[in-house]
Amino acid sequence: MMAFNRRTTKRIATLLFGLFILFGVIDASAQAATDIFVVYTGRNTAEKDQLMNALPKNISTRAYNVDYLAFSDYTGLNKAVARMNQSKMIIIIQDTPMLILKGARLRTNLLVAQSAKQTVRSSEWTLHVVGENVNLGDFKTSARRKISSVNDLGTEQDLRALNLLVVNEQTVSIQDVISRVAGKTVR
Amino acid sequence: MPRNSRLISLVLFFVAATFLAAASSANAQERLQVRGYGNTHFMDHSGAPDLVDDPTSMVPNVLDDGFFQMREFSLFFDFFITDEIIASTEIEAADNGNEYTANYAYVDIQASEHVNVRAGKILVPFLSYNENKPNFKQNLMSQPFTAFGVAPVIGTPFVNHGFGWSDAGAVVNLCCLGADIGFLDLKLAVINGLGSDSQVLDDNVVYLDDGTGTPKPVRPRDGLIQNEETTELKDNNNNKAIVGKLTFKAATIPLDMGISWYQGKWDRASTQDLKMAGAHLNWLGETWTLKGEYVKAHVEQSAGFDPVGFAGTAGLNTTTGSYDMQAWYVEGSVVTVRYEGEKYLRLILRYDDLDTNDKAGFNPWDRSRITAGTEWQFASNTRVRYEWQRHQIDDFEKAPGPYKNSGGEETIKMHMVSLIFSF
Repeated sequence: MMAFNRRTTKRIATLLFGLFILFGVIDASAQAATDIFVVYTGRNTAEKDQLMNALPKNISTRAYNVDYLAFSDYTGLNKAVARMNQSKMIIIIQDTPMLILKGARLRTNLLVAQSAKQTVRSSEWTLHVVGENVNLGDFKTSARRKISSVNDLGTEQDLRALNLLVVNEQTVSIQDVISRVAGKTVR
Repeated sequence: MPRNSRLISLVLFFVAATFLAAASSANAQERLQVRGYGNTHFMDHSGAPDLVDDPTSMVPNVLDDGFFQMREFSLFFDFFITDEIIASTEIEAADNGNEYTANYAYVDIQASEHVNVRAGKILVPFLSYNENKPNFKQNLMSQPFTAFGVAPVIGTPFVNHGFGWSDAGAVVNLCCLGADIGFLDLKLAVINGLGSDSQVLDDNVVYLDDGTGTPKPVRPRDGLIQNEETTELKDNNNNKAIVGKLTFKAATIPLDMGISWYQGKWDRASTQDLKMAGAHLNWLGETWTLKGEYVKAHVEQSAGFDPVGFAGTAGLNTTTGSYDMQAWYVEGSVVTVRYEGEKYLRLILRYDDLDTNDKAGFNPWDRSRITAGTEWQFASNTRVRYEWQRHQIDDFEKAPGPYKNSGGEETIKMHMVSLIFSF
């Protein structure tokens, strides 16, 4: 039984082959998702660069400057947050991005570097990593720990029980701590 | 058809179907994001002229009668096809839920870190307000005259079809070039463009009820121009409009400013030009905000008669030749009280002016306005907003009888209380 003539069949076969390639490419792209999004502003570029250099090389990273949201339309914030949520961890550097992203619904691991503002939280896990000089104000958590070495971090389970790490920057850098935390918790 | 070809087709079909099913089910929940916003308000004018919806039925549409309105209820859908390709749409229920509009519907392709391509029904990248028009992004409910009298973000009440200026086309965005001082962003769009099939560009019509039993048609100056042609996203000629927007964002302070331009033929014969150019500035600090826009438009027209005057003109806005228009606004706000984290009280003041330039006669859209408001965010993403407006109509001594007889006064005042939410 011949449902279609030869020309139609060739077209359908070509179309299906195209779909096959397309979905294959899309799927491959999806597999190649970013592990960590580092979120910063223009004034924190140096800190962002230091952190990106410190992160484990086997983890794929991507930086996002929230200043760029000034150029986007009113959907820009939603799209940026949704894109970040595709990653395994978001690292936010200092106060300004925390204010710009205020109220954003994050649902992946969130590390906040050098900020005690609790304007953004994740439904998955939120950990603030701050130096002793950062004013904690009325930071709300009972799950906090002070460390002087990356050896004090403990296991992944220990870390996930915390919401605040206060770092003695005389003995260990914030970047090294975050790098080690990312290494233990991002797979 | 050879048996092998049929077999290959069949196998390919099932493979493609498998990928499609996987793509649409396994990750769908993670890859679809739904957000939204809405507002409802009560508004009450005084001094506005009485209108009728339809001159044959004489159904009144009187702004001076206070009314509740569910103005907008929008849902944003963003679906990640890949991490770099997003399909997005905003479905808006406007006009008390009687109109549903896709404010935009497009696919976004992030070609590289600095290049994004967007195609479909897009928000037109002109000035700042149109790309930031939702009430949860603004401090006042009412649109500035730059977005009401010139850029067609919103039309005259009873004529507009949804809010926002969108059109079918594509935009290339070169984003975020720069470093220490700040960043530059360039958006270049090609769209169908604004258009009219009549001999004048502003061919929307409202009807003044001057008490004679014969309503008088008037062409409102309600943006250039959000009429049925543009709403249906068809182009009325072969000429495509070019829109550009260049914005600078300072690196260390919450300041951005930019220039925008638009150029395209609006008539069916592609002989009459419409040009718009403008500038914007925003200072969006945590406590203080300052916003402003300026826009000037030049409309080429060579109609010999007023096409809406056939049924008895009101003597308003009868221009059929070329003309210029300009509008500007400046708006400041300050958060006076902040408590319990997200809760605050804000005070807002805006001044705007619309200059229609056809000074020979009377034009009720030639006016200035002062708006004062206050906004109370009493819970997360939920606000109550009150605003008061006073419009001052220029050259009112030239106002013709039909305008005055329909209740139009030299000053129009308005009170509005709104409940705003986003999620």
